[in-house]
Amino acid sequence: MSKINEVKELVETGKSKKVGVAVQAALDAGSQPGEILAAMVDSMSVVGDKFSAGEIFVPEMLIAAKAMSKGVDVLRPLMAGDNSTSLGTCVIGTVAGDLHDIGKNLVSMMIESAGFTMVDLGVDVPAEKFVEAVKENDNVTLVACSGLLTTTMPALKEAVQTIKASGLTGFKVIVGGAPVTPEYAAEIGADGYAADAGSAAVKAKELVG
Amino acid sequence: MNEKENYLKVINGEKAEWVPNFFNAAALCVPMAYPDTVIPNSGNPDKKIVDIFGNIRNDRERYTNYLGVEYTVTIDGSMPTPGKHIITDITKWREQVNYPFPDIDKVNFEEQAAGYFSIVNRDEKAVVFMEESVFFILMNTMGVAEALCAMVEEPDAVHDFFKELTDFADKKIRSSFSYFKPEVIVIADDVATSLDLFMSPKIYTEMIEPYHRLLAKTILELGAIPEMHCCGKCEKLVPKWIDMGYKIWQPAQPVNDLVSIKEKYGDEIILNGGWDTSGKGGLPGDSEDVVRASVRETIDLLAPGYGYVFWDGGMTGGDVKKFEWTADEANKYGKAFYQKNN
Repeated sequence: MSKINEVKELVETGKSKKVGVAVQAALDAGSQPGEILAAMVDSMSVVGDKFSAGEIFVPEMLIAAKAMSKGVDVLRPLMAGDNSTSLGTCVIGTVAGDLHDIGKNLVSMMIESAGFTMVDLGVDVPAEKFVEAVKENDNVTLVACSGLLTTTMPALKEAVQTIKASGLTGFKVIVGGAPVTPEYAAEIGADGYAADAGSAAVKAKELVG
Repeated sequence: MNEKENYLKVINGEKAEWVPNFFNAAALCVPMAYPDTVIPNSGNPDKKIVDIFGNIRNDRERYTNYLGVEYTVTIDGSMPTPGKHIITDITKWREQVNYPFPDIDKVNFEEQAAGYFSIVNRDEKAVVFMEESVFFILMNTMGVAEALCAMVEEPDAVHDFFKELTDFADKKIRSSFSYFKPEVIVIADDVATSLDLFMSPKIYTEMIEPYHRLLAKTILELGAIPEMHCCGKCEKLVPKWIDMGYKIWQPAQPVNDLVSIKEKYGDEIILNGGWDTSGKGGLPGDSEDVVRASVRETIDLLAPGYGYVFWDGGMTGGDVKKFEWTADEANKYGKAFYQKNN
């Protein structure tokens, strides 16, 4: 098996203690950092597809994301200043009135694994704070708003509409959460919707790529 | 026949006179081995809310529980304050939570029960205990993502924690039982999302099932009815719960195929809930007509054949008007249902 394929397998199976060594071995064998990163992103895409298909569950997705993170730690010093593989910055948060962070955290991990730099605003985020974050961060290409509760769906609408009314451009807005439907996402003016963390990463790449 | 008696008929697998409304028929109770510690000056004193147990709290009030977990009170229920997870390494859980746990032998359950029954008339309402179980506690102490990783990466340490938690819960149930004599004891463990289980059925079987099974056995031994609380799409676990002895499942959310579950299992599992908090009637701003219609539709769907208790799941989000509409419609429509339909 090639060194890069070894890295891919270790990411897919969540072997975070072995990935760092495998990434170094791939570098030593002559693979470029960007090539290795792209391979790990591919692995996470496979993981996301399996999750969306119900073949694996949240723990397997999480340990795969952890493994990729360990691999990225080895590559990071070699890729400083190289934005060629980055899909931009994603601002993510759970909307005002909602303290749940489960879905947001899972989506954040998967979108990061897809090649975005994440700016996580946390929970209970007022609509204006999403706008401020877009202004304050470089190269924002995606804003992701999460809401778990039906009672905070109006806040999701307010967040999307505030962002859209800000006049800022260059990014797309994606929404998700248990009570959110594709129809509601369209109704409130979001550019995209995802039902789960796996498909959120796919949608993010589709909207930005 | 009063509300409690009618409700007991349903949960004992008998034909009821009307469709019970859980809110009317039962009173929830959590025996405390150690009182929660409210953080002074926390929350908004100008905005009061009523929690699921009927206590008046400040919105966003914070408190810590016996383990040292900080919670924030919201209109949608109390939840761990985000970002304040007390276990960062499950192998060191004893050092990272308040341990040892409170001494159950020193708890005055007689006094607690006296206080409780000064408010609740047990002739009119069934007494329903609620006890959080292992995965809930692991999530609340570690955060969901870390909890799920811990179950896969450090199973021995997780089992060690789960065993101690379950021994504690078991002793609390046994020690408090004679003072409260609950008709039902709910073991609460949200192991699912709205789409599927958090973990594979294999991991549930290996890591969580033994503890749910132990508590069901204790509840049956004491003479009460075990009820499982699990939100989300968890229907894959229904046969396991039945096998363990759980007789009721709440809140039985409609992301599950509840009609098929009723057809397949009948009175082996009573459904308590069934109202769609994300559907028509559940959304903010829905009109009274829409909310009332959603209650009727739920009863029409799930009440035939008995084996069903209506409950809005306590999920009207602090919307007092909506709660009044769901309760009133459930009482009116539920009262007449079996007379018209049998």
